[in-house]
Amino acid sequence: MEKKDKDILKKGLEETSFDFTSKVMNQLNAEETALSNVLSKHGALETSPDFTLQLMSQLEGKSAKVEYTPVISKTMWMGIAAMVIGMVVLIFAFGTESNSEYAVGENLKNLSTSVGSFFTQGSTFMYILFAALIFSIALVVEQRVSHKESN
Amino acid sequence: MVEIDDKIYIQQVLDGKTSSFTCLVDKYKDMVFTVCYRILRQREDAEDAAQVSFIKAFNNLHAFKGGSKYSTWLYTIAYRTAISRSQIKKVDTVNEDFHIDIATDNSFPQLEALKSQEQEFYVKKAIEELPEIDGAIISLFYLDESSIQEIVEITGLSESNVKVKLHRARKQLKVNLEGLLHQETKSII
Repeated sequence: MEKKDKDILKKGLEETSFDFTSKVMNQLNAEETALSNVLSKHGALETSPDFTLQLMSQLEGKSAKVEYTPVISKTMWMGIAAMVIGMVVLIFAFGTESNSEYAVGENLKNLSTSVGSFFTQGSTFMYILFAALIFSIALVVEQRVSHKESN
Repeated sequence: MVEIDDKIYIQQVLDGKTSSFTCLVDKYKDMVFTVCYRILRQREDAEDAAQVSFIKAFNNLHAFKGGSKYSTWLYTIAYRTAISRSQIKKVDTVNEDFHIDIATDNSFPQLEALKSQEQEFYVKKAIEELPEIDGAIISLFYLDESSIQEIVEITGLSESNVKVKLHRARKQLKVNLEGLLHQETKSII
């Protein structure tokens, strides 16, 4: 019974011609091409004739050339040098077991030994000072880099 | 080939030869202007926004790394410049009784009977009847042949949003320009 119904329904359907799909697709493609043609023919706008001249006159004397400047300026390097010297002086002052009997010359001789011993036998204060120095240098460099990038 | 030309000009500008920027301006000025005009709807404003866009591009040329096409990067600047200007304009004119009167007659006659100049008028009018962003998207897609992905990059909209806007704009244009499109379709088939 069910098969019989299906056959009846099938007979009721009309068949399209074999090129029906390609005809529909051609029509759709032609419509799309037509829209594209019409828009590209009539949809474009033009600037005023002196647009480029006006623009280039605004850019006159300007240059897009990238002029690289050092991330750490001379002043900054001098600051860093001063800090390092300060560190050395501190090591010189506190890092060695100096007493009044030792002459200044003796202390200078011991300086290299003290710098070496700073990393092995240095006090907590020295470590903190050294970490602060590294951190401040890193902070300055990062600030300068991010400032440059934002510009 | 086109992209190689752009790269050469960009390098020359970065090397300090500012005059090479003229080539880039001449090549892209109409499309930059079109994008700005679609958003701002006024010639003077659009031309001003286009100039500002080129100046921004010039000043930030060193930041262009070539990850996308130069045109995509430039149209992104133009689109965003125009959008920010249109927002300022909207705030300025929010209490004014202001509207742009494109044409007194809102009907679209049978376009196949019109001369080329008249056809141009009605095509431009049909695009101007689209919402601002849809008009810009249609211009990028059909005039510049930008891909969906490039339009996504330029507008900052999602891919599905761009596709919906494009479909909606296309549908509206087909209705408004039915006569002209019918004639064009017949000539294609």
